[in-house]
Amino acid sequence: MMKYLSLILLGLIGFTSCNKDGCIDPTALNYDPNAENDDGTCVYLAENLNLSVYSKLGQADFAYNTDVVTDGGRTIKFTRAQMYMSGFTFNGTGGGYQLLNPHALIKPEVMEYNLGYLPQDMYTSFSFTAGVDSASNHMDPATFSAASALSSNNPDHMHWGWDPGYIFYVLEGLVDTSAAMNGLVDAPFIFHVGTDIHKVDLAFVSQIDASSDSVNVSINIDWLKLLDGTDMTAEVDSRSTHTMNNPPLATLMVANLDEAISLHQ
Amino acid sequence: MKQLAFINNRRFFHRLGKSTTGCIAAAILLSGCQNDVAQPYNQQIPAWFPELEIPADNQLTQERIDLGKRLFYEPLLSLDSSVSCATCHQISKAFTDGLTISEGVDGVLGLRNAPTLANIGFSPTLFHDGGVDNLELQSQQPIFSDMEMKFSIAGFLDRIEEDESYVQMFMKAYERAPDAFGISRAIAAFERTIISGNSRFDQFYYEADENVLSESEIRGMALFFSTENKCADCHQPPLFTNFEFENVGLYSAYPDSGRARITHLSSDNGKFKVPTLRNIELTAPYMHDGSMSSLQEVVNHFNEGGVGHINQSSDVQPLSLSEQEKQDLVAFLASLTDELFISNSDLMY
Ligand code: HEC
Ligand code: HEC
Repeated sequence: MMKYLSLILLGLIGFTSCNKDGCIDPTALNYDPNAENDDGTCVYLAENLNLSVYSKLGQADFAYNTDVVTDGGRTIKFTRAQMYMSGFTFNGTGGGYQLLNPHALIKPEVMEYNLGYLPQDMYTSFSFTAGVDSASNHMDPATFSAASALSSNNPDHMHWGWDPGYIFYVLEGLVDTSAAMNGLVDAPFIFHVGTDIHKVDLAFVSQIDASSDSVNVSINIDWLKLLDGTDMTAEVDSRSTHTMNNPPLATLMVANLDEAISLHQ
Repeated sequence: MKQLAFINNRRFFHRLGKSTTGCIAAAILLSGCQNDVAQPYNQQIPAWFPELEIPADNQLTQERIDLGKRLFYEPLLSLDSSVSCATCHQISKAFTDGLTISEGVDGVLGLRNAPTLANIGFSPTLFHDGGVDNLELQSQQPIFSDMEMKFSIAGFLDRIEEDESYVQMFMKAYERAPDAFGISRAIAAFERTIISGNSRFDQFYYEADENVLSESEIRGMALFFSTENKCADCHQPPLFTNFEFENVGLYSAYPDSGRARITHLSSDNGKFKVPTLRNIELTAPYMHDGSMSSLQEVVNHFNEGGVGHINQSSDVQPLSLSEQEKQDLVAFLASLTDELFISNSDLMY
């Protein structure tokens, strides 16, 4: 943390050395050592910006290996579900802030994600990208710091190992493909979806009080809803996509993101 | 849910985010390292080859190449410690595996035939469909692929945590503890030393040693370079590829769409990267799917002129090669084998 603060300070010293008005609190983000009169502009950091993700299967809480029914009437169960989120942006009275980091790798078994820090303010809306921003998507995963969810040091990171870059969304499980829907949930379904055109920007209007040290933002993901509109039959193309080999199925899943992700009230 | 107008006031957060400081830190680190960098490696490249481009962050040093070689031959990089890069890229077969379709951990079949890695450092794109454009990224892919090593870099790092010799090699090579950066760079560095340019054809053509080719091989060479047969239009010396993507009319409907997988263009359907023909005698079976088992079969294919796929190159046309000419052409292809290459102990572990 000190590293970033001192960098910001360095910048400010250069520009404000002759000014006697400014922020005179050394713990503030924009502390001005040359200022003598506090002009009320001090900005502080909320250092614990937390994202809570409530994973759902329809109304129920998410569970792996548990039978649920899609809107197409298929009984399925999930064995793997993961999604990248990036570009978290907060809009407040003091302007907008976009966090270049972190990229969050959302998994149903994990609820809390630390997003770092944000200047203290009252925010009125926030947005993020489901998927990986285009710039990061074309970087070499070996060049991210080991702590990053994008790093190939991270065992959960999802990358194709070639130009299309990261796999943004992974949904895997088993489905009953029988015409009679006989309850045998045994055929694999695989949605590995990515490429720049499949990232989706989502924005939410929400009062976020970031006037103290900790801030919390809560969203729901209905993983089952991501499969809306699919009819997973014996035909492999109806239940398996690696994006490039089956773009229509990838697009179908992506179209559901907007409804599958919502504010947690 | 309401869509908002996009942010226009990105204040210092955008500019002073972590990635910026990361860059500064990296820059400091880099300039700091410069003095200690080990002796540059003296790369032996045939004079008639193009220049080998090497990324600034991965200049060749002996330490990097040594580490990369160890990793290339390291089965601990795979889930059950049974598969290394060298399982599918064997030096005795000019870094191929002799299989129609490669097999990874548990014998799981991949999608395609393993290509030779001879002179791979010169290739502007990688894979039969050109889906990657640098070796540093490519070298991470097999480790994670379910059809290859089915493992992870983190898993490998756990396995070598106690191994002092590895830690030392990484420190010497990249001045950092073992991690994805070092692994991917080192393997790529080693791959850039996989160079083959000493076949009998090279001795004859570039070094003017007239005695090394037989008469049949010389006749085959003329057929290969003839403007009628057009082989060399695509398989251009000295690397015997122009690195373009071409459809040579193997099928009227390709099960594997090839280049179109990357570009999504139907005009790229069935196009694959023109492969090098160096060491071709050692790299059977042939084509992206290993569907041809002998060079005779390949030459017959080109002689017949392909099946006439809609994207088939106009350079693939029926030729009227006699039996003798076909034999000569195959004989010439065999003169592209580089015996010193496949016995080069620098490339073995
Ligand atoms: C299971 C077998 C297998 C293993 C293990 C394997 N490869 Fe490969 N390799 C292949 C196949 C098959 C291809 C072609 C893939 C394609 O075009 O889609 C390939 C392609 C490549 C290419 C591109 C060659 C070209 O002409 O474009 C490089 C480079 C490469 N492999 C290096 C490696 C390295 C480094 C490792 C170890 C980290 C490795 N391979 C492990 C089978 C394997
Ligand atoms: C239009 C460009 C083009 C021309 C002309 C051409 N080739 Fe090829 N050649 C290719 C491509 C592309 C492949 C790989 C095709 C695939 O895998 O589907 C290939 C594959 C081969 C292979 C198999 C290589 C391997 O590693 O699997 C051989 C051998 C070969 N060509 C020899 C020849 C000969 C001999 C001629 C002339 C009679 C010729 N080629 C003409 C583009 C061409």
